[in-house]
Amino acid sequence: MNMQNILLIDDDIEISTAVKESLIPLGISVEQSQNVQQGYAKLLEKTYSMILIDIQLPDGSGFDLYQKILATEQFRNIPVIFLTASEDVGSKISAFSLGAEDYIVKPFHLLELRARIERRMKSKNMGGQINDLYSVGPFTFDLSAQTLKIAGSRQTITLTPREFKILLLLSRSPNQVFSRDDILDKIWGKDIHVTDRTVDAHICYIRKKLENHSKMIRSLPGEGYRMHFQD
Amino acid sequence: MKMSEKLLTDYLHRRELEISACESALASDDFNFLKRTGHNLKGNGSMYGFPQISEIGKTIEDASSIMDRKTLKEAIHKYQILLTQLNQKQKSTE
Repeated sequence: MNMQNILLIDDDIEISTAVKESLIPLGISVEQSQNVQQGYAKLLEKTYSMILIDIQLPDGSGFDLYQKILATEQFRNIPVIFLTASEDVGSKISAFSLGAEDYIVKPFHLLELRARIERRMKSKNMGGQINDLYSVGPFTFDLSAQTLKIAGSRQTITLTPREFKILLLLSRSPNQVFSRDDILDKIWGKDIHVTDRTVDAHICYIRKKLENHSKMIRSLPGEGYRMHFQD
Repeated sequence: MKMSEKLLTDYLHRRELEISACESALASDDFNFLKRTGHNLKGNGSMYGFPQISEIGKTIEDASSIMDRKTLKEAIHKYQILLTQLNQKQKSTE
């Protein structure tokens, strides 16, 4: 069994002690960094399967660190779960808008955290060498690496987890119109409250990455979005 | 998921050491330290099965934000009494 390793960026040693103990039975090791600076330095040193980030860190915001992670190609596909003692809905929306995989409010039950981590790890096939490809239209999705290739181009496009899911959703049902609410429900889930603008922002990011193929995602005013592969 | 008794004993022991640090911080008006400590206690107390510690943590964090010395003094005192009780209970289970 491959040893999975998680980087926990939280200055509270009690959290890391408890998290470490709870993940040992799953064969997952946990390393801790206490602030933004240390956390980023650790990421540069070693490869991690997942990152848990506290939003309120002594030297800055976990969101700022996450944006730095997303801006670094080698890190942007590592799943991130935010941890916070804040129940502020705004923080949750910010986390999901940025593309975080999950968000958990402290104090949390260790079994809940463990279940969430397990689910994320399984969904990413982490540690495995499975090359899980799905082709539709000119797109070939690598479901393991969460990357995209477009026919006729040698370039591999890296998408954030949310962008990947949205593009896959639209591509799997070409010409089907998805309202913003449909996309919110299917990608973010019904219990998470984010605004329509979050969907628009993600579509905008995806279009930028698709460059010449951006027009395949059609906007239908007042209705939503649909994928259009052929002209 | 039940934590090991050693983990719980160690956790409570570290909390006892924290009390004097909180008292010193209050004496020197180090509200940042108190706010951080309260914030962490709020997050970790219940995880270890001690929701009362999380409650006191929240009081300490909130009172530090508005520099409310009186509430902080009372909360730290309450925290000390609570820890004594929890440690006694923990020793009896070992």
